[in-house]
Amino acid sequence: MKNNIEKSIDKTLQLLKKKKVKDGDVIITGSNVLSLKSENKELSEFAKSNTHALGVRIIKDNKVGISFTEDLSDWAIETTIDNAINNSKFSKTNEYVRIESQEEIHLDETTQSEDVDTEHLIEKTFYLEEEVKRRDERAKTPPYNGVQESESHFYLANTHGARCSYKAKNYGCYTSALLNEGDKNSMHFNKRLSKNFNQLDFDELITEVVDTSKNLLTANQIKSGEYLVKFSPNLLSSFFSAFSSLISGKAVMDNVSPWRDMLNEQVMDQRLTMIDSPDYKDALTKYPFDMEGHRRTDISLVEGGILKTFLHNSETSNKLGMKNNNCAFRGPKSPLGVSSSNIILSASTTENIDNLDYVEILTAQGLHSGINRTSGEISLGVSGRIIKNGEIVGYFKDSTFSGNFFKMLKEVHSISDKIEASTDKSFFTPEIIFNELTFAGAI
Amino acid sequence: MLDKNIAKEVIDYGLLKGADFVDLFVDQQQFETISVKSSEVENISNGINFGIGIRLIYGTNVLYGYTNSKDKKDLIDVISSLTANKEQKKIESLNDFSFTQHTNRHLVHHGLKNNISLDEKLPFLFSLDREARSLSEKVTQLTAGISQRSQDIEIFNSEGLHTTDTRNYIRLSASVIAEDGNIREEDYFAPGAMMGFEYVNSFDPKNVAEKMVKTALTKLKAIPCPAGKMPVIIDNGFGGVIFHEACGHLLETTSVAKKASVFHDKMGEKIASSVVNAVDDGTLDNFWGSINIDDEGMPTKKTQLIKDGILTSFMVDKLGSMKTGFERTGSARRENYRYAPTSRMRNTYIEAGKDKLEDMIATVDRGIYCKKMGGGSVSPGTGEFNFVAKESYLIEDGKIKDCVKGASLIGTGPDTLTKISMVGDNLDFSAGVCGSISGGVNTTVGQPAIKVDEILVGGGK
Repeated sequence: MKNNIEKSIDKTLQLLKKKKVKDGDVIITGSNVLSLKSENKELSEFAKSNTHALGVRIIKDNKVGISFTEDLSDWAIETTIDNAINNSKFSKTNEYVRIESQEEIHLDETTQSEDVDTEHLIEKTFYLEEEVKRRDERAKTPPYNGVQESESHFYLANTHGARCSYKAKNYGCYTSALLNEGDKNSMHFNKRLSKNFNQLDFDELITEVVDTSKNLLTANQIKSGEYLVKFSPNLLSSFFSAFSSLISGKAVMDNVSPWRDMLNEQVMDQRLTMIDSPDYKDALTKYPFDMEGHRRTDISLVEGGILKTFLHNSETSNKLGMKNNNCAFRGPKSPLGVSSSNIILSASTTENIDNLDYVEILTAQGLHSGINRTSGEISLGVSGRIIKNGEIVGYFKDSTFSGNFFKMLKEVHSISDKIEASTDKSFFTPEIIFNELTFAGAI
Repeated sequence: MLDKNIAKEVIDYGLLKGADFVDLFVDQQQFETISVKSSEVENISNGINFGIGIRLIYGTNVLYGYTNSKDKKDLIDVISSLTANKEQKKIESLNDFSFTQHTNRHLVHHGLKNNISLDEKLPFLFSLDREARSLSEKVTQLTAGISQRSQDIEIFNSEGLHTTDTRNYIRLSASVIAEDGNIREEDYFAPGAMMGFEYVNSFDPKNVAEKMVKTALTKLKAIPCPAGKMPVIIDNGFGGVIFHEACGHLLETTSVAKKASVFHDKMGEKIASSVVNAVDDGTLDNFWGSINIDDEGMPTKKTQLIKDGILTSFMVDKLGSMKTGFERTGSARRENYRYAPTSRMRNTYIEAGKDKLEDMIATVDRGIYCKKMGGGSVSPGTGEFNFVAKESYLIEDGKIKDCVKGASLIGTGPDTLTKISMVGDNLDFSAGVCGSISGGVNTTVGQPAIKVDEILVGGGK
């Protein structure tokens, strides 16, 4: 028995055939989300949603046209196809992009997640808030505090017979500790995500946000100067996301990737290797297929510090004369691009960093503005802690850090064998201590 | 868009489930995006978003759900799932709706409903591309695009309100990259308005290209910015983003009501230097952040936030009003039906003062002149902010010197407000998209040039 989404896929393919579109594909994404937030022991948000979007792409006379709709009625789907055909007439001639996959790939991860009673989710939402306030009397009502249950699905099909689907269910919790004492304020926020609700460690999250906020409350600016630096895995992951053009075949094709002429040259410290791993065992999200309907597999992007390849789709690989490594990405509403899946950094040799003096940056502000994606320059407001001989000797805040990301990657001081993951479990890295970077704070 | 009888039955069902207040937000948005890159058409896309958001308020608690369907059964199902643990109560149902037609103050000629052909739109982008590339061999890439959106909204609520509005938006965006050896720099231009395609025709592509290329070439020669505390002059237009992020958000009842804003108990008190007057105005004709009515159906207004340094108003939505007691200001906004409305900014700016920019520069022995600000972020609890300057210069002995790169401004909103010592006479505005708990909404930021006596500058030196 087909569900409504699958019926809409069938309808779209029938209409594409009727309109004599030989090369066309359809993507439908959707989600069911329950979002709970609390404030003063009452639910401040109870939001439930069930949404979807359909995107059509066609290639006609070597020209690509796309269009989308959130209305899955027959009329809306036909109009969307007509719009895509019309849009293609104004597009550039593109002899590189292909719609040709005939693969059938399905993965349903929702079966791995147990159902959780809504009342229990509500209880846990209140628990987060109350426990943050109980742990420290200076804590105000957490500005961000909630629990979320999310089920998502992706469907892709094309006129050549490809049929792919991926379903996943995740749970998340987040909270923040906003502390106030006299004229001093501090806040720390974090979240946890898991496929299984009972694997979310609420107490560990609360301990982290409260303790960090406590330490930041009395923290001062760091003394201006240069320090060895370790970034939190979330922050390092954010840097790689912000500089995604480095490894993007699309950015190379568009002449905007800073690494476009660096293939087979050293771009990172020679101890480092970077892999794009769609099926990484510890990752939260799997990527069984790309958005052109091809199966994804591990890609070694950087080996021993040497850039080995970029992320490609059919267009970038054909245009640049390189092998398509099946990293196509597009949503119902967006044109074709490329995207990484899970990024795994690893090191060929590691060492003990316990005897080092360095600065660990825990949070940064201005990530979407303090980063120059073209030049690699980074300048951010940061807070964190100072480590000496493996011991935390102090915290700092209201300070700035600046450096150049491209240079940083080549100038690594030390790498330990301890593996850390970003909160969303899409980025895994050994602890990396980067060479001296500039901080401004107290004189 | 939604049958009135269905709306009534759905609202009645929400009331039956014990809600004190129910509203429906019917939202249909039509989109068109065209872009040019590498002197070719990069993307043409269009589509329609449609959905209905249902809000039930119990006391001051909100239940919110949404669906892409306008069928009665689907809408009732949303309420059923939201109210699964609520007791049914017998109440009188809603009598009927009273339709209110609001005046449209934003004249639009070529919105998406009266669209013109792509043949007439693409030449502007190609012209921009040609002009930019002809100005310097160092220009290696130009991307440019035009995004248009037409939003039809219809609001019903359990107080009998029924109203509609149409909002037409257009945004031009262009970015140029210049390279010299291994050094790459960029500049961008992204104005927007509540208008149709006629807005784009008000720009001269040659003029736009010249300004962007000149800035990108200047930045190629930039030296690292010195770091430390120093006086900073932030020029007009997008410079207002700092006030928006570091102060404006703290004046929304979304943060005031939960006492997460440092200003929550400062009404009537001096929170800024006496030279600071600030406004959030939803009524400015054809401005990017303007609206006729807010997303709760209330006509929008001009709100004086700060007068002579004294806090005079917050931005207040229905829920914020219920929680704080302040009157609503027509500030309830949301990105689309997926979000419940909250108090948000519209066109927010520091009003013009009397100082000349050159006189302000002349007062600085050593500091930074931020000609063009980039984006930034702020921690709502503490008001700590971080903003990057996209184009900035060293000031020495009262004169503008080298272009510097990597300058970021770090501080707290409340502290910075007290350190503004001069306000210029060159008020200007810029378009942006503000992201917050009710999604990304169009907002205008604005200010004249201001002098902040001391601010922490992050740089590379």
